[in-house]
Amino acid sequence: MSRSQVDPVTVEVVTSGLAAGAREMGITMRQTSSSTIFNEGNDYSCGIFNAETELVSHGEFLPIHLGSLPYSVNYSIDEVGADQFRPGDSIILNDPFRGGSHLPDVTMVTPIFYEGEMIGWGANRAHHLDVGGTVPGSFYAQARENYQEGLRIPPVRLIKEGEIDEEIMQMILANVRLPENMRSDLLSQVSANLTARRRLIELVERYGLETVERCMAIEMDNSERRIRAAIAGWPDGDYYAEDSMDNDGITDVPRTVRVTVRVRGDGVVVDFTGTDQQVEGPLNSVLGYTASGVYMTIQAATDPTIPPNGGCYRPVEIVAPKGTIVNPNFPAACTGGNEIVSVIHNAVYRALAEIPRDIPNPVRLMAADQGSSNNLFLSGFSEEGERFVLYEYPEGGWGGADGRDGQSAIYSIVGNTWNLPVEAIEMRYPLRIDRYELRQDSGGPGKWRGGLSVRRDYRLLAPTGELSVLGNRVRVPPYGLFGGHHGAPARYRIDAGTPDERLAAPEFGAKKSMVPLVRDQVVAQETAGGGGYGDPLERDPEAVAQDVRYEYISRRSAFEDYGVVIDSDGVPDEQATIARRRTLRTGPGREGANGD
Amino acid sequence: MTRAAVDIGGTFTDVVTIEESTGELVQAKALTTYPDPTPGFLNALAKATDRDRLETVGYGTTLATNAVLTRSGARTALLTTRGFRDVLEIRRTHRSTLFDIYEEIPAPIVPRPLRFEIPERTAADGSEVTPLDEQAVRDVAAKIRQSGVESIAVSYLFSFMNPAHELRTREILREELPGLSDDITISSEALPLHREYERTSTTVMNAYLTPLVRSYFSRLRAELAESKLYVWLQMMQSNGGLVRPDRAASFPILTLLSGPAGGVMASAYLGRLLGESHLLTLDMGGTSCDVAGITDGEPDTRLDFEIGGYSVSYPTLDIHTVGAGGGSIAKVDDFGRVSVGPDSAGSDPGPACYGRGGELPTVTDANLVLGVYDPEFQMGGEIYPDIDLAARAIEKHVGKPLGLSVVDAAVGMVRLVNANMMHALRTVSIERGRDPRDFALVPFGGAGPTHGVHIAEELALRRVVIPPIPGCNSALGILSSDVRHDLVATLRARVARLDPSDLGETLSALAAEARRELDEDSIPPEARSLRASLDMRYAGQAYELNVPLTSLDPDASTLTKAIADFHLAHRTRYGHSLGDDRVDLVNVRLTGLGATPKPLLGGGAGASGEASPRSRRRVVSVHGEASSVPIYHRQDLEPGQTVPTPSVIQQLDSTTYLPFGEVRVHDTGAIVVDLP
Repeated sequence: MSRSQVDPVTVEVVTSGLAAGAREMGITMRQTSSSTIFNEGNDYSCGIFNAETELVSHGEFLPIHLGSLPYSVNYSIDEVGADQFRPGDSIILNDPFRGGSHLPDVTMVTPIFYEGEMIGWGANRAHHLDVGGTVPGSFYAQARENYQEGLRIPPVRLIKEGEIDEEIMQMILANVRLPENMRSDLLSQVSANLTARRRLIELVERYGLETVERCMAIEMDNSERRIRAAIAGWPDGDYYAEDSMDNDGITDVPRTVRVTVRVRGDGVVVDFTGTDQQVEGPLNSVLGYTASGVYMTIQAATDPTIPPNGGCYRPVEIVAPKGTIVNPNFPAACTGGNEIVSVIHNAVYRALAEIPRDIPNPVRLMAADQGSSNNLFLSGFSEEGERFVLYEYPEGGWGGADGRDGQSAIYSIVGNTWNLPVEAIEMRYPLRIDRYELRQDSGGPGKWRGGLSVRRDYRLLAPTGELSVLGNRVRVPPYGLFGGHHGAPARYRIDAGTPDERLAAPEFGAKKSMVPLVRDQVVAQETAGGGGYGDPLERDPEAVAQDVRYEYISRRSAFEDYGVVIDSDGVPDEQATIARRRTLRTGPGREGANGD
Repeated sequence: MTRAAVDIGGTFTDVVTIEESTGELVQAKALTTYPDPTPGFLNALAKATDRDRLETVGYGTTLATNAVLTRSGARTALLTTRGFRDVLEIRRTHRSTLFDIYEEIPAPIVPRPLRFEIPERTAADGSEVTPLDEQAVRDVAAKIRQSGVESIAVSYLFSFMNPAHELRTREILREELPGLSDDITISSEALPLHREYERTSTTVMNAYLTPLVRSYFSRLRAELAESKLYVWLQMMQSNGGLVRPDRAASFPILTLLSGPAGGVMASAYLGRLLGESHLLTLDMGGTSCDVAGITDGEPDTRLDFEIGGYSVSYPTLDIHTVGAGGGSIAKVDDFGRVSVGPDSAGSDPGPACYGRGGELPTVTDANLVLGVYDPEFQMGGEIYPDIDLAARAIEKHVGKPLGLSVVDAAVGMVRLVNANMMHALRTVSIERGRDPRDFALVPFGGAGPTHGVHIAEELALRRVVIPPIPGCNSALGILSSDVRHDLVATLRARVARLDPSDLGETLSALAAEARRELDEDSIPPEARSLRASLDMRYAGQAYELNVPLTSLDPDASTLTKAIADFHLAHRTRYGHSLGDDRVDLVNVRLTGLGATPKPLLGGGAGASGEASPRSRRRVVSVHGEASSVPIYHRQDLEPGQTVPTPSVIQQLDSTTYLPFGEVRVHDTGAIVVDLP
């Protein structure tokens, strides 16, 4: 029986059954975990894999895990031994150099057996609040070795034939700062995989193993075919671009990802040759992360309705030279690898912007997004002496695109997490949020304006505490495209607006661990806005005037960046605007324009 | 006495009455009137019953829903805690698709210039951090006065812990803006639960709808009084229960999905009578199609939903809507792609065949051309369709552009709309992890039974159940629903350390409120029931499980039992329980129910053998094959009879197309189709 002999309705029923199972994994995780990062922030991914370890279906999923979660399954097999798995086993791992991403992301892999035969895998990865290491939250901005960043867990069986291995569990819990949360969160991860097991076995019982396997294969083939069709519409050629991160937290020098996208027929090679060497600090992206940055960009650029699965990645070849920031050698520090994924994504996107746009289905494109996860930690001990660690990774602005302004206040495209409600934070932590608002003038000016980012002010209510940040886009802002200006850079300040105002991380902009805080001090975090798209002098003056009325932009920006003169009624002055725009077009030094 | 149920849909207003002494059902239908639906309401009522016997009228309307979808609610202002005016616009920063960088996220209902910050702050424990700046509220009132605002939402942080600032703000606003006194929604009343975005969004949605729904009710009351019709009015809520209009006017979010809720409740009731506990409902009317799932006899519910891209947190039946109805318009775009819906001709001008000026071809026109609909039969009891107008519209807008004959174009239109509905049913079955094959389909609405059997076949369902009066099923649901009040209060405590008398106090307060409401509803004591439950979670979790409480007068053993039940519920649902005693209580819920008499169905003398057709007609199948098929009239069919296929059954409110299957008439009068 060939693949085509499974009828289309059955294919649809089985694959959507798998998708529902994968979604249900995420629901299980969200509803059973104890940490806000799981259950409010949804910082996790869940997937169902076939026996050949290809990702077949995913539920709640972060694009940043696309490339590396499959590696975890393969490393589990290699390290534990393919013949060692028993029904009821679950393997835990977090080693970035064995299929992990960064140490706080803990992966749980569960083989699924049916009548004694291994038929697939449930796997999920979730960000834990603390995995030990030098600083609470395990994001040590000045780390020089992976060993400093937390507990390293190779693939080992945490659950053996349904029973928790308490020795391994205790070993793990003894090395983390929030053991109670971690135990229950790990069990949530196991529950999620058991959901996958239940759903896959139900499908196999109903339709037969052979049919289910065929349906999986057909679904992946379909995705592959659709991605190839989209790429085939792009003219063959080599398209080059680069993007940089601020620095590595050790030396204040920008580091650059250089990428050539070679389009050949219906496939692409994404070649990072020429990218900077791996750095001393924690800003290195392991290969799994780098693959994620590439895959997510290709999916966003082609057709977002293509079901993401193992088939999507067959047309994409990645060349990532060893010893660079996109494929570092062990034991490079790499907690900030998620930051590099943003840089990789934006570099690849900028290369795709070089592809001619006068084709039937041009690349789905936008200017740079906020380009950082804006990792921020507030930690300390409450009045009652209880350890707390709040991890925030707030949203920013997306880039403008042809025909539309960038979305404001949205999570970076590398993830898709939810913000933490102010009320949820204040009920759990000795903190008060003084403000949470859109940031005026943060969207990069353009014919299509970049999206606005946000500002959040945290007031410490405990006697003492610490601030740690690991972000980017303070020195190198999100780029604009085709004449659009860059988005506003990120900014981290303490006691902003008071005489004591100071930068939280003056040496490196957004990389600093354990800045001491005392009661009532306020940390103001401002994320970066999206880049603009097209020349801001071509933006509809009415749209500029509305932006001023809505206080999305200031009058100053309307005048300086957009050349729009707004009268006292808030209406554009047509003649004055024409004159102002003429001056700006011919005048020297068009400020801020960094597009090409 | 007589009870009536009215369902005001986009195209038709349906009425069903039940005579309580005999159980006799009467149905009637009128065109929905625009912009004021009341004349249509009264027209339909007058057709159905002797007004002097009327005691209660329950009804559902899509008024609030349509206002959201067409963004035609009130110009609304929002007052927030200082520093938080953008909570509404920031949302939860999440997107619904991973890779669609062009995803459309609708603009907030209240634009930034109408969102005002007030210096005030309550802490997480309910204590005051910053007193309310009353002058600031008065200043905002002055700005609101000049801005044409019609409704106000107030949502302060932690108002669910201590509503004092919101209550005082409302007082001040009422002083300053007496004209808006009844149109102020405060979040501690609309949704006294934590999570500022969800609470604010729900509060804003309520404020957005209040003026519209309120003016609708006062107009309705005036018009009823004018026509000297004195009846109890009850309104369908989204949770499948009934509520008084005055409460619905203050909390229009209660009714946001009330239109479709009736049909789901009727299907559940019919399922009980038929012994079918797993059902998918398909309500295809003139403009849209609503689908829902019923498992183990209980309609799926959810605690929050999105409408038009906006978040509303309120218990509701879990209903999914797509733009596929009899009035859905078919068109062919410049690239030769053909689509049906979501644009609809509604009832004005209506399908081309109505001859009311509609020139675009609709699904109804296609069914007429294919012979499924009878050109000699009144549509909706009012209109004789014109088949030539239908054929001309199809030819011009679909046939010619695609190079197809009129009949082939009509076949294509039907197949497309069937696919749309099949996809919607997948969403509520397969995509929720359920195999549709375990379910029976209940198609209703004017057009549901026309398409139901084909859709069921494509989804491999085993059975289709067509209600006795499919065009008025929503109205029947209203007659079979109970009065219902869902109340909630926040009570945060570690359950093991909770003093049962504290819980008792909260419950008594909720119970007193429920009783007050049921008094207002004139529900006799013997028809009342109160159900209490607790939302609980393990310490640190963010999502609760709702566990029924065994007593309204709790003691220590009630709490012990609740904890044990919670562990059990957690294990059942998620496969594990933590087994420790760190179980937290978050919310106390109480539902007050007032039972209403249920309609009797069927009861005709048992018959057997094949029913007799009235006539035969040439009908074209979805495969484009024409044949002569028998035509039955629904009122001729007796319980116990069988109906051969292919065939068509006509009745006032709907046309049932039976292309294949084993068909018999059930004791309830429902038609049961068993598929091969």
